[in-house]
Amino acid sequence: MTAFVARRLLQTIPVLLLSSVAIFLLLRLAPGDPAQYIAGPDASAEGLAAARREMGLDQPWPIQYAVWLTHAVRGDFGIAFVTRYPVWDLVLQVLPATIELALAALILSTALGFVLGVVGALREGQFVDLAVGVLNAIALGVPNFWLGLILIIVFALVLRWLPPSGHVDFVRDPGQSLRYLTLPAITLAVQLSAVLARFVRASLLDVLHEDYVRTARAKGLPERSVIVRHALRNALIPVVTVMGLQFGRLLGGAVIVEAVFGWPGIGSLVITGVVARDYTVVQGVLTLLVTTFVLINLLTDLLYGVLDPAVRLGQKGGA
Amino acid sequence: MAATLGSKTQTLKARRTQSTDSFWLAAAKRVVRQPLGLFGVSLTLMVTLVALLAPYLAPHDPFFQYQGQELVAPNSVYPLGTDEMGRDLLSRVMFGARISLSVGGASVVMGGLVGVLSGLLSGYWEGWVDAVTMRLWDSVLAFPPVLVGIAVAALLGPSTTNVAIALGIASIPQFARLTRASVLVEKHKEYVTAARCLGASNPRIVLRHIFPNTVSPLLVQLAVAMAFAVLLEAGLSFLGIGSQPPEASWGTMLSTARRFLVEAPWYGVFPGLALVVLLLGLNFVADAARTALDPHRRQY
Repeated sequence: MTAFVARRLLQTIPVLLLSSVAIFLLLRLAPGDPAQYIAGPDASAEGLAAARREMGLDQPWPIQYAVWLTHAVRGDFGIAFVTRYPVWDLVLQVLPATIELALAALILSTALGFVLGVVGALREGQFVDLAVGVLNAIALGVPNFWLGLILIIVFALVLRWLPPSGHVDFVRDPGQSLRYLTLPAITLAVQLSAVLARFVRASLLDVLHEDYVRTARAKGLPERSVIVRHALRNALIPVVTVMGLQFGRLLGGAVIVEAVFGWPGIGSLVITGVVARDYTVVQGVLTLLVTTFVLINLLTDLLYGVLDPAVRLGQKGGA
Repeated sequence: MAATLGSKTQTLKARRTQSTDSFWLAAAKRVVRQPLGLFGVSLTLMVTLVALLAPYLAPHDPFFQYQGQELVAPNSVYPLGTDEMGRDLLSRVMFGARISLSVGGASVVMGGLVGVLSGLLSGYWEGWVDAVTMRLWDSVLAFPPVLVGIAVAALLGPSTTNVAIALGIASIPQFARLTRASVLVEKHKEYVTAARCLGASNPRIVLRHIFPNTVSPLLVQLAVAMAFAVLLEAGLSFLGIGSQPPEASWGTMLSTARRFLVEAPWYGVFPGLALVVLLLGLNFVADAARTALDPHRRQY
């Protein structure tokens, strides 16, 4: 197990380093002189030179990269060009809203995905199964931002059940906060639950044909216990990976869904940054999101190794 | 001796080309024979036809602003209504198909070419080339595609071309991994040894012998990547970092429509509906291709 963890960690480091180089180059290759932003458009030649020295821009690139990386590791992503706030403070301001949305969507889609997947597997080939299958196919073909618009039109503008956009702090007013959270969370959860339902169904169907399930039935266990204790437990192994791999979809989806509902999260921060050409903000947020994504993937793999000994021992075959 | 060998490879080659043809035809037939496959192919072809014939089919100029006709509800003159500048929505939706398909097509061709070549290289020769390129694609995979789009837009500025570049880059790793995995299996088979004994050069073995046998999974990936690119182009344009106004991209239209949902809900409905038709079509084609090309594979 230790060897497996070590091997997987060693694979992660080059990926993180390469991504960080890419993100670093983003700022350096971008048009415009960062010093000009800090010193202001009317800065004198000396002022500009001073700003360059202060920002370390007179150093060669490898040194700049090393300095940037050591700062970034400590959460120091520099000062936002436009607002002049430290990027880290801006991130901390919007992070809770994004986590709130992502978590709500994750809980919702897991619940929905499991129920639909199990129902589909237990009623294989019957009407319910086919209906769920068609629903899933449609859910996968409907872009989440358009789904969001439709939900706003139906539930906020026509039925007037829920607010069309915005966000309320949970601490300030839990009831209102949930009302604002409902539509964005559903929007973000739909595709995810469709993917999960497909995998839970397929994985459970595989397991249901195994001998030990027949044995469990043969010894007279109630069907409920056969499904929950014997089948579902083993069917969970591949599902764990899928959920980890879907985390990227969740992150990317959150960026877009936030834009639909005017949700003040990390997506809104980075999009504002791109439009205003505020490179330090874009760089900081990208670093944070990519690192999170890579680490989640790593955790998924490690968890998979814990659940399935064959993976741990590197017996996957081929690659 | 050399001459006989040469003519033998010629006949072998001729036979091979023949069988490749029937492979394509057979694959297409097997896709269309499935109800969902036929449905998907029809939807995709329909959108493609509309995109190609947009100048002839569109009832109005998609950029002409009819003064005083802003946000008109669907009627006989404007079948899908008009937008906030008095432009005909149906015509704009029709021209929008061109952007979706060309961005999707361009990015898939770019990602496919680079990915397949890199996969062939690293699968056949392995070693350090393999290690370096695959780590590179791993780090591209470390960026969720929306973030690749954001990064490219931040660097090159938002535009339709740059979206295609971003999506092309984002689709390389999957093509590379699939190709590499197939090559690793194929290169130990007897026909490769046979070709080598006949004196075939490495590039010839890779391109002429191994590559045709890696095509099946790539075809499925082609449809999957296309659907993905179409979806992301619309998503990035919706975020305002893809196609820029006045270009008629479905994502840009939906982004503007968001501001007029109360006065003109149809504006937020129709461009998205067009997008869903294309996406469903491509998804069904991908599903059907998966079943057609590998009947043993479980259908997820």
